[in-house]
Amino acid sequence: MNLNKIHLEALGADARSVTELFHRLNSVLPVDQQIVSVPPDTLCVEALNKMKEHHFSQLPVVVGREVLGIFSYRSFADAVVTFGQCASKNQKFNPLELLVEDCLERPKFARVTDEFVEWFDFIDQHDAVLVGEPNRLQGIVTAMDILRYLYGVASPFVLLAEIELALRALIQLAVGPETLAACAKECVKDRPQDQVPTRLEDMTFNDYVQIIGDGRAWDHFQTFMGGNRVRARAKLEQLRDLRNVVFHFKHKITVEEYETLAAGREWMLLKARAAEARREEVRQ
Amino acid sequence: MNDNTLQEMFIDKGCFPHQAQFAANFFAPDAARRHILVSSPGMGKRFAAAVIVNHAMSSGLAHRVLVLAPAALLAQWQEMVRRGDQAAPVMIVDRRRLRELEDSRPVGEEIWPANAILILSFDFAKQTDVAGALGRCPWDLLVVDQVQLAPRHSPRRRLLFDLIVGSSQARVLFLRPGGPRRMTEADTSAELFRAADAALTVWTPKTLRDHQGKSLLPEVRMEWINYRRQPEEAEVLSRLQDSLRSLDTTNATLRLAAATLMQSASSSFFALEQRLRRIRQRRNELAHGIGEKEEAGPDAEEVGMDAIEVIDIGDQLRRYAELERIAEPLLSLLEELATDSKADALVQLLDSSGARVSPDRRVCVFTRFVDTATYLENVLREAHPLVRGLTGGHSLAERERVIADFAHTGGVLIATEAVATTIPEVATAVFYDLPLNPAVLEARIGQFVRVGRHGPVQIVAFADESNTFVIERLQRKVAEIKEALGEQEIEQVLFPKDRE
Repeated sequence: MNLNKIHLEALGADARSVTELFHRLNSVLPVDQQIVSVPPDTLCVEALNKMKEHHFSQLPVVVGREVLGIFSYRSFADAVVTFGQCASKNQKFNPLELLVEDCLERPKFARVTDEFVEWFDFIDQHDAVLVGEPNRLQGIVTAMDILRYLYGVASPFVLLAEIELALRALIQLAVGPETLAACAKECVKDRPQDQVPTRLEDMTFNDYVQIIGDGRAWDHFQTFMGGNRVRARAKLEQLRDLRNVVFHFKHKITVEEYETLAAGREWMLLKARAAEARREEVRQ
Repeated sequence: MNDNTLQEMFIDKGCFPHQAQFAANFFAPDAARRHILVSSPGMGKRFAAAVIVNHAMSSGLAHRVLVLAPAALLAQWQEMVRRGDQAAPVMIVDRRRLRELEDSRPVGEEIWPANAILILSFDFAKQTDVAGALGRCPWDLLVVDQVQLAPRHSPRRRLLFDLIVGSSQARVLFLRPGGPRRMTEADTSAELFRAADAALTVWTPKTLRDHQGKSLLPEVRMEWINYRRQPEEAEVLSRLQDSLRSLDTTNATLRLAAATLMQSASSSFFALEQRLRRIRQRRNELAHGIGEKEEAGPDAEEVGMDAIEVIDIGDQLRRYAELERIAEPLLSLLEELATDSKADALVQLLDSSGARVSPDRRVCVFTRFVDTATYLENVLREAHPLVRGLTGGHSLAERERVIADFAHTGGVLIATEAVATTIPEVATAVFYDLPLNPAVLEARIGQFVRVGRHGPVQIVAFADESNTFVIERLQRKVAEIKEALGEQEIEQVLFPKDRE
């Protein structure tokens, strides 16, 4: 049996290893990360300026490819306290003369294949973890990298929830339950007539699109969805297709697809605001 | 194995005679180690290259193969190699994959697998550490697709030089599009060709004939469909044009963004609206460090401008902030816009083309924009029973299913150029939007004008008689003369205030 073939067929065109599908440090590490490091004989004040310039809390101290340790605000503060306590009247201590090699913390290394959850406590205490080996630094994962990664994973779901709930609310504003049931009977074409849902809560996103985008029902929705029916339906269809991609994990959502979702959410928000303003007008 | 036997074997693998001959020459004992294949679109140079890669691996002539290509072509390369050999050890290498490869090897050992076909994007491969690691490894076969995208003095060009020097015994194959016009001394790749001391092969419709002396490519007929935009549509485009000209177009990335925005608008109002809506979102993401870095290459190529290799975040932020300023009033106008004369003209064209009545009258509507494709699917579905959409967002299996259905039952296929799939023979190809770059236009035509097809191929494009949108005049000029306009000429017309 050709295992290679089974592997390729099982994973489709982009045949990556199965473990790569799990959330590991490699996924969290930014692909365009530029590592900023300092040599051990750097003055602390220079290293601190560098950290300030790049908004970093720590820097790896490197000679050639070898990581000697970490210089951080914390390690600097520790060194200042230690050297300050050792100073005497005759031997004054000037923190501006300290070198980063005087303030090193021992580094700990994670591997790209580690699950990032395993490193939560360490990152909580140290703000970051080095990835690779002492003589091969591959990157640095910070708490912010994890936050950005999880935001990237979660935000399509959040956007879709907002879009779908707002769309339902707009439908409820546009038509009553009976009209909606009649529209569904007329416009939902991809199911047998006796299986067409008539209650909003039983309908799918595809049902909403078919109802709103149908020329026969458009009069009910035009006030809320506005503009051009075909363009409105095209937007809803894009959102429906992206919903399928996201909820069925068809592929990793692209930057452009994410932006389409976010733009769809903004469009829906605009419609919701206009609908609320109209409702307010009617009340007054 | 002699040349004739090799040729026959390549023909058995699905090559046309010119492809088989080239592949056989490539492996001939007395052949040059380095080859440059220049070919008009549609003649199957990439297929021939994939056949060469597979043969080199399966016959043991190569163990480590490196393929460099633009990012958009990586998946296509992987697919073509796999089609030739399902078990081929082919792998797309990006930053994450590279880290895993490093992690799996002790420090100091070669990170590239000993038996593999590795496919990397130009932009990834040129990064200092990656270029270094590639340069240290002896490759047996190096294939560079779209070598013209490595302009003189660029990091990409330096990478290619280093690879050629570092793997002096490697077989090398450079691929580039173009006909004889572009193979002049002034050619931007000429310096590289000389340095590589390579054998040059040029495939053009004139040089390639079948055994009866007939052209291998079908004849192309271009036809213009005239329509007139409604006053309210013209108003939106004029406002967009004026707003974009008010931007700081001395900034190269902003100028490129403005030209791309015009390109979207000339495609469809829906594409314009969606692009404008994305602008604010993109700006917020960049401001909060969430957005991914973007490349300007494809857009620059499309509008005939010089590619900008690196766009820093600050520059991107400035650009999006300026664009956001003009987006709001335009979106309000678009929200009220009820007509679409261009889409109406397309519906009329399809009604008269017979696509609705006969499965043999297959029509493909081609657009650069996914948004336009989605919109047209909606427009046409109400009038035509068999409308299918095909974009880069579809999986390989979905693409194959859509193409098979289209080939079997006919109708209208709305495709974007990102599909990178051979589209079946069609009666009419409608180019719903046009690029400003003749090479891109040739590549699009090449999707339909393939060796072995009968033709003639009817290409249809739209021309707005109201002449509202200046970019469309340029697009038409390029399509008619099929020659590149100078970057200065394009910018003079698009952004006249720069020249005042």
